[in-house]
Amino acid sequence: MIQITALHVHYLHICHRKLWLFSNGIGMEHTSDAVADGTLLHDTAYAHRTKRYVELDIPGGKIDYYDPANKVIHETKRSGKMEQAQQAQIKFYLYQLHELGIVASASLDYPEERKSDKIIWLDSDHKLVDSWISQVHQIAIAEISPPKREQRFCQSCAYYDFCWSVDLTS
Amino acid sequence: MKKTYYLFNPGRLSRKDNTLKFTPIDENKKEGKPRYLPVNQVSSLFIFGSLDANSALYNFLAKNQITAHFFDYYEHYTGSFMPKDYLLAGKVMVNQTLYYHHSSKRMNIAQSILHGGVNNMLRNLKYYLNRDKPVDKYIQQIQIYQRDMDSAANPQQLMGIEGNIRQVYYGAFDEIVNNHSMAGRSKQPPLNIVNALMSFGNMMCYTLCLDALYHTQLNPTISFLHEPGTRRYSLALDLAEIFKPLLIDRLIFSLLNKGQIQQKHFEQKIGGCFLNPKGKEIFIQAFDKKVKETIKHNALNKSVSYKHLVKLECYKLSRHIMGIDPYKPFKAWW
Repeated sequence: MIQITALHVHYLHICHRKLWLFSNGIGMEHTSDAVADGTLLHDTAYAHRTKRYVELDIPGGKIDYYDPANKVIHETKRSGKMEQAQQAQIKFYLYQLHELGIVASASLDYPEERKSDKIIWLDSDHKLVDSWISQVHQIAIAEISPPKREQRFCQSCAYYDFCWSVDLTS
Repeated sequence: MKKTYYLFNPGRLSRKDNTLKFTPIDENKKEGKPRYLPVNQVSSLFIFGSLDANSALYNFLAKNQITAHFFDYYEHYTGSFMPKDYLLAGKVMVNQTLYYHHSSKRMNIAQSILHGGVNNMLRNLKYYLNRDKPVDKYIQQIQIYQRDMDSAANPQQLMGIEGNIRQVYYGAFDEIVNNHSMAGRSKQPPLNIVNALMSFGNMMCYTLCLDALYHTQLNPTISFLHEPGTRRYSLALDLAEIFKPLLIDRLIFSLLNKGQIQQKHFEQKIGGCFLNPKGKEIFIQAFDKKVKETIKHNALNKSVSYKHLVKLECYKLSRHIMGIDPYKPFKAWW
């Protein structure tokens, strides 16, 4: 059994090929400007936050900004293009906290769009996240990678060159 | 895109705050004005001059995944500082080993790699055939050998055919290069100008391939065409097979035929011929320009540099051993 992280859940909602590669150690994040940009945003947006919020260690990772007084997780993103996957990632955090006996909510913050989305934990979410986890496991342990599928965001994916660098002809 | 830095002048490289500082030091031990290399922009260092450095620097290079390659006075490659692997993937390692061990799987990759290399050699010859160089008989001879490649029983036989092909190919160099004779391949030491350029160039190509491999999950010591252990990083030799004709041979032809590199850029020593410092500089500048050149990649629908093409070749090999797509070598079409 692999240790499932929020990133696995994120990838599950974007691309199964990417999830399989990542789960098998073939990460491409180090080649990506977009990933570096996300880290930079994380480190530089909301400079005053750290005083109020704490970092929370959870199995397989950590939540960077947690507001213990209001029980709110804060997650910073550049844009809402991957909204569904981002919300799934957040639900997974809430699930992990729920397992620890904390019922929290979350805020997806888009500093450049000057907006935040609120995400609350629903009782039905538990079953939903459980099903994601078993899907991640199924994909990760498959002997062969799922087929690639052309999607609109392929070109901006860190794995684009890996997937699509097929043989060239004149 | 991160850059390769070539250090020719003697000096000291050190960590300064969170970046790299190079302080030139002249013959009288006098320090010159320091230069800063932005650490986030450095992919690797090629060190030709004498360099002072301490462990703090190497720790810093390692943290930033920067490789450093060293060359002696006679520009032989002497070794590399390879930071610890940061992209470990058990499944890739296991599969790479399995593909090496399974003789038909190994031969399949070895043959593909060699076909890529031979195709690129033939491309070079055909280019000059179109420019009225009498190389048709070399082309025909290589094509005859090439047909034998698919019936080779093992990698040793394949390497034997490769040797024959190279001998014919190098024969054609004397038709292509004006005013200089190669007179066959001589190495360790190279005996003349063409051979000196070839030795130096091949080593640069090997190092370029090694750098590309370092940033992928492939293990650079497990190879398919070359026997593992031929060199420390024999998979880099496999990759170089494909790219040498494209990057190095074309560069040699153009540098010599355009007169950019001449007799005065070499030192004739007892038993060998070597590039002198000025010659090295000219070659490296041209090489660096070459690897940054881009071509339009049809499948990716964007322009990619030659340097990136090497990386893509690593991806293709990874996909092959992971059972995703069958490997087809890069074949130049221009």
